[in-house]
Amino acid sequence: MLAQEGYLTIEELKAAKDYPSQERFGKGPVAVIECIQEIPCNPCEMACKFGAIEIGSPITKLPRLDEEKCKGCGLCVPKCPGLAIFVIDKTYSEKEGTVSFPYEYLPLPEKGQCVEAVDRKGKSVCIGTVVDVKNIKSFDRTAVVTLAVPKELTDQVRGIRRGSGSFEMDDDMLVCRCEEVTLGEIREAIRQGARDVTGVKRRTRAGMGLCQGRTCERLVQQILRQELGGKPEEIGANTARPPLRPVTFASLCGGEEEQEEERNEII
Amino acid sequence: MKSYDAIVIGAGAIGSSVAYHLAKKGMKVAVVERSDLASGTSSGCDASALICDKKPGIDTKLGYESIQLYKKYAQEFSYDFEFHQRGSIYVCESEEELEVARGYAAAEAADGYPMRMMDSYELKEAEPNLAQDLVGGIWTECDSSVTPFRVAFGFIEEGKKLGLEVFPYEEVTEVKMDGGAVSGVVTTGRELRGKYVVNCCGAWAPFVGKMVGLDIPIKPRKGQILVTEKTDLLVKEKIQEFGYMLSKFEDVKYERKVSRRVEEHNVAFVIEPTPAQNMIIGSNRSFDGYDKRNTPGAMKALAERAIRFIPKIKDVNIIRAYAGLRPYSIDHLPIVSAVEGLPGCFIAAGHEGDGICMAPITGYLMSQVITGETPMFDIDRLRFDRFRDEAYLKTVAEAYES
Amino acid sequence: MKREVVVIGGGPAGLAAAIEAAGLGARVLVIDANARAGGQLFKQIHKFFGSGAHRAGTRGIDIGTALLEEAEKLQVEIWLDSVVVGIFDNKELAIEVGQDSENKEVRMVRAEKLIVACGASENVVRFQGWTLPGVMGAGAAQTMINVNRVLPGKRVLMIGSGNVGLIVSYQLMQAGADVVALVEAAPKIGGYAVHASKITRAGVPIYTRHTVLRAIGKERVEGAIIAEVDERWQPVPGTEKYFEVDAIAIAAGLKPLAEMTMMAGCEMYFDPVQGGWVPIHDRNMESTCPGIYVAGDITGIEEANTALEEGRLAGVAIAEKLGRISPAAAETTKAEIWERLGGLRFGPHGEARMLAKERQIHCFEKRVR
Repeated sequence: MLAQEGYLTIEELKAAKDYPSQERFGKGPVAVIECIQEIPCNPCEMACKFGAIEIGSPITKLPRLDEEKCKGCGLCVPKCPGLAIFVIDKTYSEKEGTVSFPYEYLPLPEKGQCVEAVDRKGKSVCIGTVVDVKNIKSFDRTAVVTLAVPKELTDQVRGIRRGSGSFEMDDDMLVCRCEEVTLGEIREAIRQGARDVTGVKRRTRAGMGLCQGRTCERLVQQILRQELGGKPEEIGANTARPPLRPVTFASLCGGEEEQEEERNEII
Repeated sequence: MKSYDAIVIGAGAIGSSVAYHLAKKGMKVAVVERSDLASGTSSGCDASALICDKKPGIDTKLGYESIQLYKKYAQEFSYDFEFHQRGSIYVCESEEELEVARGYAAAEAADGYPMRMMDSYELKEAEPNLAQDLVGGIWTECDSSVTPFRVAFGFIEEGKKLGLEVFPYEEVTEVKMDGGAVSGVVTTGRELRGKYVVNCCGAWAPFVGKMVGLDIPIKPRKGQILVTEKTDLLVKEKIQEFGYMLSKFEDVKYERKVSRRVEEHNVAFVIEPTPAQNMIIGSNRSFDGYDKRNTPGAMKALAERAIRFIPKIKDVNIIRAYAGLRPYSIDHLPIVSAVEGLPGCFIAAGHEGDGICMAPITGYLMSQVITGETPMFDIDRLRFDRFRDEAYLKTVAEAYES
Repeated sequence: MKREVVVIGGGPAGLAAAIEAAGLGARVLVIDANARAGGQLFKQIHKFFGSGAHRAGTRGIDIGTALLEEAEKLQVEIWLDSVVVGIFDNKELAIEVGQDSENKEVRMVRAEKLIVACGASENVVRFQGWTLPGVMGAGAAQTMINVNRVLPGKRVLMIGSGNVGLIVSYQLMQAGADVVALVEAAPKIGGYAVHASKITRAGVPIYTRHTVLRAIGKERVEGAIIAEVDERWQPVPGTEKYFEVDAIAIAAGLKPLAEMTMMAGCEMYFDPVQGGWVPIHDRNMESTCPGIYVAGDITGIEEANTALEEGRLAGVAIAEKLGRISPAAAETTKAEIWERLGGLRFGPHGEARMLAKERQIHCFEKRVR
């Protein structure tokens, strides 16, 4: 699947090279090198202080892992430019194992967080707990995240959902469903000078859709209050305009035309 | 106290354009707006920049030159005001209307504008959803659309790059005078000094005029509009009934065969697709003071007229109605002018339903007037002075009576 | 078309107003958007609190049935499936009537006296994934189980511990769903303790000082993560908990459906206790627009009992204005109603609402003078 879809399957991986043995996994953390194309590259070889990774010459050769020499220290993980090395520890606890993987998105997850764990294809697999985040200087901004997941999933989990590192209200969160306006767009409108609900509406279309802001008005008011701290009177509300519910042209136009006399009689 | 070359009052499409063009001339400019940018008529109108609804002569000239500027700015500005040149169609219901239309299109074409007649067959080809009994129409190729409030935002954002300063949510309470000339303004937030003060307050221009003793003959003229849900667009471009001309100008006399409520609410059908996949349907004209509410009679009449021209629209949902106050001036021409006898005082207002269309050219011309350059074409007819000319006022009044 | 008294909304407030006014001889039309009047009452399968004198201990659905019977007896005209789409000058209403798209039409009705009792809508909360199918208002979940007899999910996470959150949790379990947890951002449970005890007895853990961080799922909700919040309502890292759920119900309070009164031009004011923007009114429930009365949740979020009383108040006041009851008799009835309202707005749960109502009426008196 690598060539067609861009991701490895475990079968491809196992067929291509020596995946650590179950026996080795039983002994503790070990590196898993998922590099199966001959490319000119050898930082992993240099990274290992124990001489467990060998590429040799020419440098297009695939890395070979000596699983006995590997201590599972993970120093090779941030060094691989292809982000293709992982450390798996199947002895972490009775039911859980850990997967350590390189992570170069911001925000970084924090220790202790529950995050969405994804497989090689980016598919959500389970919820994992972040047990460690290492981001030391020598890693040169490639953080190594260690995630605890159910033991049987350690061969599948290879990362986390991007952005799941932070529970900040993400800028791409939808606020107005009808017009698909995000939190980020609303914040931008506020930066551009919107101070009230109609100002946001004019700049983003939030509230211009089918529901006419009946759902999102409250959220827009909250965001304005958070960003500007204004009073409810200043933030305001959508202008109430007919029709209060969608009506078709036929329906609006229907109903008998009122007689002049009747009208006069009432006024 | 901050000091500027020019202070523009009002940040609608006109005010923001005037401010931008002055800043472009190298002036230090401030815009004062009592509410949010584009929160008045620029948020209560439709989206067109057209020549097809103008009268031959200066009216059309202003529209045409403005569209040319829009085209240019659409390329230059980093802010997208959603300019689209789609053309527009006028449709005629009767042979009688078609006859008037022919004369009108011929006059415009003779002046070199891209306007020509369409027969009923061509109409059906171009817009299959139109009612089948329409006899023909006018095709105007240069007609365009923009998103009005984005036009104001665009001018302001581009102006800011040139040093333009904006003071929203500050209302002008006083225009300062010094030795017979204007010298600045006092707002609810501060005092600003300025050599030139430009009144761009549209339908509200008379209030600012009064501060310097001017009687500006502009009245708010309400227009109501319906907005559809996002849906398959039933039209490709702006379409209007030729009767639109008839509701706009009191001096054109022609009886449409319409229902009492359409007549009573002075409704003329116009429809346009928007970039957001809605359609907006207008419009009517009424003098209701500064009341911006929608009225049920006009809404019903708008719906009725829409179904008459686009029968398929009957099943489409209307999600909102809104209304705007057009700054109506008695001779249907805007004021783009200095004020004789009041040095430093300028007015750019009174565009009625053409403010969005004419915003770029108005700003351009106003900046020329203020800097003392010769305007790019003769705009003598836009002088404020004309309203002080009894003879002129009499002719205008007579034209309506005849 | 013209009617003497028009009531918008056939919920407890609207029906009570209609019955009161019709009982005193007024001709009343009730406009209701649903196929059956009664509003939220037909979702309330639990027994109401309140004064025994006024059907306390009765289930909401039975109160609804009784009100409808009474309205029928008094020949109150009820238009069902009818939606008010606009309010214009002179109390003129645009009402869309008709069930099928084919026969719908917008009719104009002028009211001599108008009562707006259109209730409230549910607030939404934003968190990652709040737009996924399976995330819904608690009221919507309640409609599904109690009216439509459909389970919104098998495993539900409830957000919000006000009475709505507590009662709907209980009813979800009665309907056969599991409520895996109830989450409340405040440090204390918002609703009545007896309602909370009912669900804790059934094994539902209540997490106060917690918030929902995200709903997880591709096509629909498959799980939810909650976390503790600190004093500034910020989630505390490391306190996350994951629940496998197929529905998340949000009981984050209600918002008065104020747009009709806004459109009518009634003066509004903002009070968080009342749920947001509400029309101000006098002691007769009349708004700043003469002849337009308000009652029930639209005047501030409370409960069915207070809505019923406010409706009665408006009904009597209108009958008095129309000359169907002597001012003296009206005064007596109104005083009784105010006394009952005082009882309902008493104690730790009622006091804030009592004060809010006083502020609202005070605001009216100040502005009208």
